[in-house]
Amino acid sequence: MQYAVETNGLTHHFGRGVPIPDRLDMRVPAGSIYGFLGQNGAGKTTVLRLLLGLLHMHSGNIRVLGHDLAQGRLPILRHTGALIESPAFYARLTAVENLRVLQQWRGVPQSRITHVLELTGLADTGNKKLSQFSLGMKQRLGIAAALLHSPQLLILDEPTNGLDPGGMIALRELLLRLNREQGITLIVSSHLLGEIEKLATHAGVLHQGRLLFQGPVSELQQRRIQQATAETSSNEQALRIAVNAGFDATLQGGIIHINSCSRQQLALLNAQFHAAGLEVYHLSAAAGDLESVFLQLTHSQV
Amino acid sequence: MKPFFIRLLFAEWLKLSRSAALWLTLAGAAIIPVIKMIEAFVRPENFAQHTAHPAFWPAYYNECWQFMSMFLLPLGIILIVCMMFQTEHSHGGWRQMHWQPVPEAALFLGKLGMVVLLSLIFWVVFTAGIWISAMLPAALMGGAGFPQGSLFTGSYFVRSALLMLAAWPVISLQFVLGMMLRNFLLPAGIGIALFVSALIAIQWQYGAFLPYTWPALEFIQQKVNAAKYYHLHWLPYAYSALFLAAGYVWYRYRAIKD
Repeated sequence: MQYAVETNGLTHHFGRGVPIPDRLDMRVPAGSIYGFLGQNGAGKTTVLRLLLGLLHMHSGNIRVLGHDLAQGRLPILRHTGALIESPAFYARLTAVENLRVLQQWRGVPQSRITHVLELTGLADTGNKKLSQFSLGMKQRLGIAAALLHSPQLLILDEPTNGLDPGGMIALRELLLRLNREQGITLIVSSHLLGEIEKLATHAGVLHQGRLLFQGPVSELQQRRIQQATAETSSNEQALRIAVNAGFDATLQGGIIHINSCSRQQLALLNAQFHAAGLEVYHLSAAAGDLESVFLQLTHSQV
Repeated sequence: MKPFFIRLLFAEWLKLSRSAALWLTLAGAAIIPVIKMIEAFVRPENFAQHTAHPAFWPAYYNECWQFMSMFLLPLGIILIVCMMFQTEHSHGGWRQMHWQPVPEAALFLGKLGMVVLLSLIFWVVFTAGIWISAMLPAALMGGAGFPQGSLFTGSYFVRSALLMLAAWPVISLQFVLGMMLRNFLLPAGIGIALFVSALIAIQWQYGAFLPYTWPALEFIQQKVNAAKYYHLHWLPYAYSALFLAAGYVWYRYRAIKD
């Protein structure tokens, strides 16, 4: 598989503190949308800053778009767009003027300014100074700036910060379109699991500087905790059968609740109920959300 | 497409053109000529007497430059350079700059280019201000004669250029401090402390070794034609080169680039 971003043993220390990230082996497949998940302080922003060469790594190596970061940042930065932490712009300038600063640095045609402003819905901001922009507008301008030079890789750190639900949907659609139509690889860090689930093709779960999971989102979804409920002609006997079979089951309000149960295990349990002569009135499985997978991954490390 | 360095300077100018640093440069350059002009209108008889003197211009620009070199120029530099960098520190500008595919040397030179440009703007406005502050009252007050001779002589250009160059130790150290320190008060406070120390130390026999004494020392040397520090004329340029070189090494090799 070809990777847009590949790190091996990436480690960084702030002072003499705990290493964050700690021997990180990150693999972002080319053309993917990589959801970078983690709680606050997990080290997501640090990793993204390391990828851009804004921080010095203490050990390991980083390859971005086929270029080794240790050999120089410029070939990487030429094809990478980024929005790290809050958008960085000049309050006294308009959106167009702010983008003109970047356009001069990057040497891209002026027509790109109009294009990215239209793309992010900021084309009609006119002479409005950035100091009069809402947080959501600044966030969209940050994305416009990151797209100005038609990057191959887009690194967005918490891009939905400050966006209302409508803005979040519009941003998601924009990112999906950029990925599908232009083949841009995206790394999107977030603590909004629902957003990542709707957007990303791949995910990495970072906790205290270490990757607890990395792979396709579908694989992460398969780890969802199944919860099942059952009602039989003898719930007490059914509970005994379930507990003896090793399930975490309880009887509450005349309903048996079974935790951490896959669909296959549930089918086997149903067969055991029948074999014991029980009549099964109700048996259903409900998948937990990605949040429960995330919590399971991170709590198992505490 | 414009050459790379021109684009870089244009980007810096876009930021600077809307900043308080530019307005302070313009106001700082205009303040002494404006005061002199008010004085001319308030005391027209004195003004007429002065303009009638054949050596009016050298005396007049010396008077203007005295206040400027000894007091306003170093203080103005301290504030303006701090303000220029504050625009980057307070808006995450450094972060934005450092993920552009622009070599750090170019970013450093771009910022330095803006300081040179501000110095030139300051010099042009101040020089024009000196001329206007004498010519406008003369034109408006029918009774007062126009000054004899011309401000724009070779002597004026050489002397004012030397005065501006003598301010470079202040400019370069403030440039480095402004770049390094995020909190506006720190570079401004250090700069003001060094400036006050320089004012106190100017009479001291080793005063010339303090970088912030040079704007005032250069003026004193020119005015009294003193050769006391002539053998140390290279010192402000050496200080400037040293500060800028040290600043660049720090900028290039610092661990965190935002």
